This record gives sequence, structure tokens and C-alpha cells, in this order.
Amino acid sequence: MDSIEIEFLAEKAPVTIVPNFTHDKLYLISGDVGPFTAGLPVDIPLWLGINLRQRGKCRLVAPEWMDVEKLTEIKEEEKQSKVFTQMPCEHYLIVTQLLLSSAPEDIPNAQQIKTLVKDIWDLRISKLRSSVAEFIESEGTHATLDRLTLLEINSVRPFLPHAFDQLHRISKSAHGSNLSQTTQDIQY
Amino acid sequence: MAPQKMRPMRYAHFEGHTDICYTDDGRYIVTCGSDGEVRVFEGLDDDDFKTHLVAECASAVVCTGTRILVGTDNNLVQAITLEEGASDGIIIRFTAPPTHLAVSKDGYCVVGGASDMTIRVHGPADYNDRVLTGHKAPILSVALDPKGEYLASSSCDGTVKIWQLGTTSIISASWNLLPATNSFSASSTLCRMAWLPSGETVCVPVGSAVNLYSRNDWQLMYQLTDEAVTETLSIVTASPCGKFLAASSTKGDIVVWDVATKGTVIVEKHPKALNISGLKWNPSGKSEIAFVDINGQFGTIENVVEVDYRPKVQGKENGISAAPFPPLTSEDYQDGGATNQTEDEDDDEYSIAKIKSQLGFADDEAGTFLGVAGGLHNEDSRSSATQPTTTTTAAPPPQTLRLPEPQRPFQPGMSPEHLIDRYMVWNNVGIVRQYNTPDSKVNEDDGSIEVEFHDTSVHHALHFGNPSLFTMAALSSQALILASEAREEVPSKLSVHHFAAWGGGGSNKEWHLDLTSGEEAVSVAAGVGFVALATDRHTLRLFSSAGVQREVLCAAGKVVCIAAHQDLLMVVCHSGMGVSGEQSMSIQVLRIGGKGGKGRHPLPFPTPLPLSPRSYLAWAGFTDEGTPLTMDSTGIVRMMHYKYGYTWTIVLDSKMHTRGKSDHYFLIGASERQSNVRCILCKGSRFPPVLPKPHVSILNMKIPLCEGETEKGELEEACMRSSLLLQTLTDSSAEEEEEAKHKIERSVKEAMIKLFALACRGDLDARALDVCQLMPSHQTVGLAIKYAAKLRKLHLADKLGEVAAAKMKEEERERERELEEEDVYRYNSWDTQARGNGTGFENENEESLQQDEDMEEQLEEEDEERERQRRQDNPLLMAAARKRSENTFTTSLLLSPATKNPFRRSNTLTTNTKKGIDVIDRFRKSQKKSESSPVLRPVVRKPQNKQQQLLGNKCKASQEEGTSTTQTPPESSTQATGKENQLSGQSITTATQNNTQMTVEEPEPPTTTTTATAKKPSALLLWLRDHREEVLKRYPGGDSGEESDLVPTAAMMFKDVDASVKQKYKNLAAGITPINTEESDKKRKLEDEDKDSPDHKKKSQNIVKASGLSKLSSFKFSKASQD
Repeated sequence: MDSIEIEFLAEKAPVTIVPNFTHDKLYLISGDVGPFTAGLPVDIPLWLGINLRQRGKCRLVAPEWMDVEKLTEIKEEEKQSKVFTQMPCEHYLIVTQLLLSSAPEDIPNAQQIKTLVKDIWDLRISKLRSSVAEFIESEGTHATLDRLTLLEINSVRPFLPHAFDQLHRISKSAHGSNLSQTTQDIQY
Repeated sequence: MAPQKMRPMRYAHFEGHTDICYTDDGRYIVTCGSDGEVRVFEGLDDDDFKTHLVAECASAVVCTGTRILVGTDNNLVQAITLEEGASDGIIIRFTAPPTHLAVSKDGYCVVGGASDMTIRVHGPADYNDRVLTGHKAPILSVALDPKGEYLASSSCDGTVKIWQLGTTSIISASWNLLPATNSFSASSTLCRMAWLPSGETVCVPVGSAVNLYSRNDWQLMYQLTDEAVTETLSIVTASPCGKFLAASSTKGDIVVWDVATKGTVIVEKHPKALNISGLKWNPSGKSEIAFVDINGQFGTIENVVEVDYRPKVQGKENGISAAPFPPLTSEDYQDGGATNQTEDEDDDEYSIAKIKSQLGFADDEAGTFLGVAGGLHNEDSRSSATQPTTTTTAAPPPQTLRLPEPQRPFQPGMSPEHLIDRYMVWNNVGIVRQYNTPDSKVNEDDGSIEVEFHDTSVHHALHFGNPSLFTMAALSSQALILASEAREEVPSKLSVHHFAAWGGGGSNKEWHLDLTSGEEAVSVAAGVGFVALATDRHTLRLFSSAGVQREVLCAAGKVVCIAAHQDLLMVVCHSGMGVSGEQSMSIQVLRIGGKGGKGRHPLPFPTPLPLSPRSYLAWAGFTDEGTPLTMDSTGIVRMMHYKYGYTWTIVLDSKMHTRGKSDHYFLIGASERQSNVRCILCKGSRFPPVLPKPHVSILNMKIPLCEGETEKGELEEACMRSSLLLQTLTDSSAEEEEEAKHKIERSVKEAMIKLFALACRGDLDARALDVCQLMPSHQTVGLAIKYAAKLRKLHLADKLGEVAAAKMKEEERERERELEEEDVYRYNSWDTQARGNGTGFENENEESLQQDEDMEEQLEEEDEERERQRRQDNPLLMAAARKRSENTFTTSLLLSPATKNPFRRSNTLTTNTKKGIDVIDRFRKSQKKSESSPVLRPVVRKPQNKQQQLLGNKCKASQEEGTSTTQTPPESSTQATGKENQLSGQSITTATQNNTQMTVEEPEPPTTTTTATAKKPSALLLWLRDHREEVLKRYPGGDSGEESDLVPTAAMMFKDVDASVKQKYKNLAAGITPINTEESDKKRKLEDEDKDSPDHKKKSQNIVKASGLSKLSSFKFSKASQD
């Protein structure tokens, strides 16, 4: 899976907007959207929200979790916890990235939020990397990683299994050569 | 007297040392705290308090006149103005943060103590900024002698000193009373001292007692204690009348003593037993104590003591006789007189007032009263030479009945005018913001107004300056209306931007108007096609949106606000003085139609406007559907409820949705159809801030029923709310709302049925019956009956039957009335569209029937589900249930008349019904059907059947084609005519009737012949077959063999043939039938027979005869053919 595809999936997440136009329901394949009433908040898919925002048709409302206080809390929790903590949104990084790039003026404290989300991401990724390293070193065969988001999994997924394969091959060959050596020893 | 009460505390500042004081008039409470802010509250309930930021941290505050003096952590005592919080100079500079401030009553002398161990006295020019040094540790408190002679101070070094104010070093007395510490914050006591207003006694809190020292000789007179208080008392404060002392301890006890009797009046406890860091007695006559704790919470105790002036004199006497002050009164008469200064003054006031009234002076208290009082005071101040001024003292004014202040006029959807950035209006159309600079009142060019439309297609955003100082705005999709208050020389102005205006330049879109001098705009409203303006002269001026003055109406009283929606105008006025602090308002809703208010006025007379106890109106306007809606300051949203005349109902308690006590919702609008209210959550205030832009939240309407959380409560609520909406929709009766109406009706029914089921399951039959009586139609009751029968509640079902019958009757009456009305309507304007004609209603009816059935199924499913769940829990039950299901089957069979909905109408029945019937009475119909079935023929059906037959004939014809080619031509002709027949309708009947005794007088009969002719060759054709040669002879052109060509000629000839021959062929034609229709099904024949049975007995007889004689005729036929 590509990160582009994950972004595509993330764009289905709902976002609240305040439209500046009035329109009936939109009947889309994925479901009905609207109706839109000027000045009243409405939940729509993210992709549509961003599209409308770019055309100056609405104001985006930051999701509830996109708040400096809440994010600081989450960050602290993530820092304290040994395992991964539950994220407020499956695609938190993408949603933040999309919202902040399209409408930074609609989100209060945009800069701080950007930093915080990036911090959380970094924390989690470093946690993931260190746990991967630990896993390999401990030569375990399986591990559970709960509450990882799609993008996070995808950040290691293309590489990790491949690396394991290689490792396996190497260890196998090393083992095999060892074995063959011993057998040779016996033969001799 | 009302019992004293300690009100719940509220947040004032951050945690930390907090100080409090009253303004001189006792109206405002001023607090400062460690957040560096000064807040000005108008009583404990003031949600719209002012906040002034002065520094990082503020530790002490006092008020004098309209100035607030604050001791801040930048080592200053700053003055700020009470209203704006603007800096008003620096009073004293210390080298460490000040700890306590005191100010003389006249405000000239300010004394501050600070952590730098100095006391600084800032006074009138003669002793400017004296520094009193002598304490060896930070100063805890300072207290000024009311006579202005002495100063008491306490310090962390444990000493309490009395200074002579005129000097810098003379110490009259010094006691070592307190535990020594080295910093203000570490000190266990604040040792806030107080002088009695007489100045004869200074009170010092020491340990758990208050020491009272006499003036001049500074001897300890006595101690006030209370056994309930064991903690260190840290603050003492004297009541303005001098009769009482209040003290607070470090553990939150508040004690009030009567100075005269030394008895405890009250003991109150801080709810959290926190250290109280500020305690003040309301300087006005109000018997109230305000306090703050070290958590920054602030509270008051009301009705501490009974403030009454007559017993006071008595108290004075008592004081003397009880002799707690023997040295004072006996030693120094003059001082004793001064002790009673305030009382004397009071007495004087009273006498003067009396004299004045006796002499018949004008009752203008302000000038006369103060003048005399001032004079008196001068006299007094001679005795106490150090009192430097002649300003009046804060003698508590006589307590009068406090009348509630009538609410000031406002615009619905605005935030208060004193804010720098405020909303002039926020409504469904858009937002009008006003930006002021602090001095824009002076400088006219600084303010600006910004208009933002929710829907940008209405109009683009506007931004313009505000030189006219507009303060009121109303916005509709057609116009923006601005109005300003009158100022000196400048009359009140009205300005309208009419967006819909056209032609000319852009300037034509605006029009302005000056009100006559002496008249001032108080509220404006924008409707569709009109602009309304209410003035302080209690008039309502109506303009067209382009500026034509249309009407001047008189409001019923002082206008509070006006609002408009479409062509409706709402006027809210004061209608009188409310009782016990309540507002008394009336409301009127008029329809400002195109032609001078044509049409029904929703609320033609001013009727009382309901408000919650002790609240005021926060918003007034209309829902999207045009129903009047209000919200009061307690967050209750009310909607007009026309069901019982002009009453109101509560549709939402918005306070239920707020988290904090001081959070409020700011209403913007409401939609009945969506059953929600649009508002903005304002945290910690009543009004939304301009920045950051708040978000609209949507609250669902919820009628506050008791036990609203239970299933029953929820259903009842849904029921009530839906019927409320139904009412509105019915009233508006717009065409396009039919669908919505049906949806609501359905939801009402659904809720009702569920409620009924709930009652049934709970074995509350009487309640179930009640529910049924409330049901909207008998169909629903029918459902309920069915359900009751299923639950084997036969008695209930019986009763319900009665209800259903009653409802039916009622509906019948209703319908008849409607019919009459409709007839009249039709008669009057029958060129109008045929609204709601029979078929349309038919469909609707069927639909609703369908819905009912759906609902029934749903209900059953629900029940089954419940049952199943129960069964799954218990295997025994499961087995029992299996058995029962069989049983129920039998019972349902037994009960079949009951279980079968007696009101049910078969779907196939399509009778042409009368027009304009909303709900068709099924019961009646079924009766009607059984009565009338032999007579009433569904005429519409006939052509349909015909067609089927025709089709059948066609098939048959094609079959026959193979066998007898000669028959084809007439066949085709009948086909053609058959179609015609479909159109020609009932004439067919006669044709069929006659077709057996076919008289071929003109060429038409064969063409009009129908099915019968198609089946068997007519007499004419038979004759033609036999006499072909003859015909050909007469008509040589017909050689081609086309029989169809011959037919007309043949017909002519057949006409001339004698009767006996005709009869023969006729018989032949009749006789042929069975043979020719051998393969055709008998069913159709039967159908034919049935179809024509009543009117066409003859024919059927013929047919019977024919079938009876079939053998004979076939024989005849074969014989004829042989011939």
C-alpha cells in the first residue's frame, strides 16, 4: 500500500465545515452529504471539505482533538506510556496535514498544532523503530503492536518483512553452513 | 427578615492571595488576585463583569470614588478607572510589592504598607508621601482612623503600632501581639485591623479573639471571642453603621459580633474551610459581607444582620447603659457626640426631609438633600479638625423598597455595547460586527462596522467606517439597518442599505433618515418589504424597505426589543412593574402585509410574555417557520403554542447542556422542522467573543418533561414535540409541506403506539386507554386494538373499540365540515387548481395504510425480539414459547374477528370517493361496499375488461384465421371498432344488448358490434355467405372477393329481405355460438354474463337459451351449411 492510497482513505474521514452557501443534499455513491445551510455546521468527508475550502465556499472547523491542550495531553501520555496509546483519529497526521495546508487560518494555533502532531508522530515512530530493533535482537518470532495507525504501519511495512526475509536467509545459510561443517567434521 | 444566606462561591481569580473591596456606593465588588487582574462585579450574580489587567500579580485593592487603587507586584500602587480600567496614574512607589492599602473616606489620603517594611502615606499636598519606618518586618496591614488622626499598622515582626498621621515618627502605641515571621506570605495571620466608624475604637484580631482598644489612651477595653472559632482570626472589619464587627479566621470561619452586646450574631463557615484573604462589609445600607479566599473564589453573605434604623438608637442607649464604653461617653462628651455622628446625621436627614415635605418644597432630593447634609457635615468636621474635606460621608441611605430595574432595550442577537469589539447582530442571515477603539466615542473616525453574510450569494461582505456611531443593527437578506442613539446636537439616525435596490448608482441602495429631535431609536428590525424602528417615545415607525414611511404605530409601553421575520413583526414592551424582582413584559406579533396588514395577526394584542423567575429577556424572535420564540437569561427557550390560545411552551432548557455554571448559550435561531435550536456556547460569559470566531452549535429541542430519561418520558417528549410541529405545519398549510406533514404524523403515530405498547406491557390498562384517546386518528387506535387483542387484553380492546368509534364520528364531522368549506372554496374560485382531488387523497390514504402496516410489523418484530431474548435466557421458557406459539395461533384464529382489523380496507377497492377528504373512514366504506356492490359498478373498469376481452378475441381470431378465411374481414373491422368502443364508454352496453337481435338497418351496427360479433358470424354475414352471388350481381365491383367491400351492399339488401328469412339467420347466428366458442374458456362467458347481468337480462337469457339449445342449433347450423 502506498502512502498516497492511505491519504485517499483518510480523505473519507468526516470533517465539520461551516458553508457559506445553501444547497440541498448531495447524493454521492459513498453516501448522502448535506444538506448545506449557510452558517450552520455540517459534517462532510474531508476531501469534499478541502475542495470546498479551496473554492472559498466554506470555513473548516477543527476537529475536537485538534486542540493544543488535548494534543499536549496526548503527547505526554504517549511519552509516559511504554506501548502505543490510542490516537484520537486513525489518520491524525494526514488529517492535520491536509487541514493545515488548506486552511491554516481556520484552525486556531495552527503552528503549535503542527508541531505537536509532528512531535507525537516522531515519538511513535521512534517507539516503533526501537521496538522493531528490540524484536530483531531478541530473535522473537511474533509480536503484537496495538493501536498503530495505518500510516505508521505503512512506514515500516514495505521494508521490515523484506529485512526479515533477508535475515532469515542469512541465518539459515549460516546455520546451514554450520551444520554442513559439523557433518563434515563427523565425516572426517 | 429573610434569613441570612451564604451564597455559593464563584470563581474570581487564580489560586493565591486575593483581595476584595466595595465601591463607595456598595454597588460593585472589586477583587484583585494573583493573576494580576482586577475584576468588577455588580453583585455575586453578575455574569458580565469587567476585567482589567493591571500587572502580573495584584495583591491589594481599594476603591475610592470611580477609581480603583491596586497594589501590584511591580512595587506600585496604581490607580485605574472603575469603568474602563484605564490607567489613572501611579499613586505610590515602593521598593517591594505592597501588601495592604487603606484610603480615607474622602479619598485624599492613601496609605500603603509593603514588604519593604515601610508604610507610605500619600495625602493632600501638606503631607505628601510620608514614609513611616519603624516596623522591622514586612507590613501586614494598615488601617486609617476615620477621623484622619491616627494610623494603625501591623507587621510581620509581630507588632501593632498606632501612628500619628501628621508626623512620620510619633508612635502613639505599640503592642507586640502577633507571632513573628519574616515574610508576608509566610505569616499565619493577615492581621487586618479595623476602626469603628466612630473612630473611638480600633479592633485588632489577635489569635482567636478580637481586641478592642480605645482611642487616645489605647487601653484594651475588651475582647470579642466565640467558642465556635478556635483558629487564628486574621481579618476584622466593621459594619458601616458601627454596630457590628465581622471577622474571619484562617480556617474559613466568619463571625459577626454585635459590638454593643458583645454577643455573636452569626457564625458562618467557608464551604471548603479555606483561608479567607479578604473580607469587606458592604458600605451601603445593604447588610452584606463579601469575602475572597486564597483559592481566588469569591462569595457573599447576605442579610447578615437586620439593618434597621430605629433599633439603632435603642442600641446606642443600650450601649451606654450596658457600659461597654464607659470611658468614651463619660470622659469626652464631644467625642461621644461624634461617636453618634452617623446616627445624628441620619436623624437630621429624616427631619430635614420631613421639614422639606412640610414646607412643600419640590421633591428634588438630589440637590437639596446633599446640600444640607454637606452643611451639617461641615459642622461636624469642625469638631474633628483633621478631617480635611467637606465631602459627604457614607452614611447608609435609608433603606427603601428596591424595585427591579426594567430591562433596557436591546437588539436580539447582540452583545453588550460597552465591549470594544462586539456583535451588533448575529442572526440566520449573517453577522454584523462593530469594532470600536477605546476612545471612539470621542474620535468618530476610529470605529468600523463589518457585515458578513452566512450565504455569500446573498451579498458580499461589507466593511465601512462608523462615523455616525451606530449602535443598533438588524440584518435580513434584503436589507441592513443601522441606527444610532441621539447625542447632544446630533439626532438619532436611521440608515438602511437596501441590497435589493436597483437602478441608478450604488448610492441609491442606501437611504438615511434623521429622527425628530427628542426621539431616539431603541430597537430596529428588518422584515421582508418593511423596516421597523422602535423609539423611546413608545412609537413604532414602519417604513417600506426602499424608504417610504408607511405607518406610525404606538407600542403598548417602553419597548424592549422588536424582531421581524418575513412579514411578521414582534414587539416586546414593558407592561408594568414586576413583582419581587421580576420583569413584566408583553409581546405582540403583527403581520405587516403588503396592503396595510392584511391577513391574520398571529398575536394581535399585547399578551404577557412569560419569563423564568427573576430573569430577563435574552433573545426574542421567530423560528424558521415563523413561530415566536424567546429565550430568557436563565437559558429557557420558549415557543408560542397556539393550541390553547396564545400560550407558550418550553422547548429547551439550554442550561442542561452547559457544563459550567457560568456558561451560557447565545441563541441565534431555531428550526421547528428540524426540531433544533442554533446557538453558540459561551464559556464563562453570556456573549460570544469576536475573536476567535465561535462556532455555532445545534441543540435538539427537548421539552423538559419529568423523568425525561425513561423510555416513557422519551416517548412522551417525542410525541409532544412532534404534535407541536404538526400544529405549526398545519397552520402554515403550504402545499409543499404535505410530505413533511405526513412524516411528522407518522412519527406521532409511531410514538403513540410505542407508548401504548409500553403501557400495555406494564399492565397499565387505564394509561393505555388514555394514550389511545390522545391518538390522532382511529386507524392508529385500530392498530392499538389489534395489539391489545394479541396481548389478550380483551377488556382493553373493547374499551378501545369505543374510543375508535368516537374518534370515527368526530372525524366524520370534521370531514363534513371540511367538505362544506371546500365546496364553498370551490364555488368561489373554481378556476384554481384542483388541489387534493379524490385520487390524490386516495393515494395518500393507501400510503398511510401502508405505513400503519409497516408500523404494525415493526411493533411485532420488536415484540418478537424481546420475547426471543427472554427465551434465549431461559431454555425452559423457550420450550414454553414454542408451545405458546401454537396456542397463539389457535387463539388468533378464535379471536379472528378481533384480530382482524375491522377498519381495514382492502387495497384493491378503488371507489371514486368524494373530494377533499383527508382521512377516509374505512369502516364506513366497507359497510358501504357491502350495501352497494350490486348496484354500484366501477365504471372505470369496464373498458379495461373490454380490452382484455378484445385481446382475447384477437387471439382467437388469429386462431380462426387458419380455419375460415372468410371470416377475417369482419374480424378486422371489429378490432378497429373495438378500440373506438373503449373510448365511447357506456354506449357499448346497449350495443351488446342488441347484438343478438341484430337489426342491420344501417352500416354502423356491424362496426359497433363487440365481442359477441367477433366470436360468431352475425346474421348478416351468414346471409351474405348464402347469397353472395346475388350480392355480387347487385354490386359487380365487388368481384375482387373482398367480403368487406360487399358488406355495405349486403347490409342494404339484407334490410330488404323479409322478416322470416331474417329471423332464420338470426337464429342461425345465435345457434352458432357454442360451436365457434368451443375452445374458448367458459370463464369469460361467465364474466360477460356477470358483467352485464342486471341490465341485460335479456341477453343472458338468450345466452342460456342458446346454450340450452346448443345441440339443436348446431344441428341447424350444419344443416344450413349443408344447404
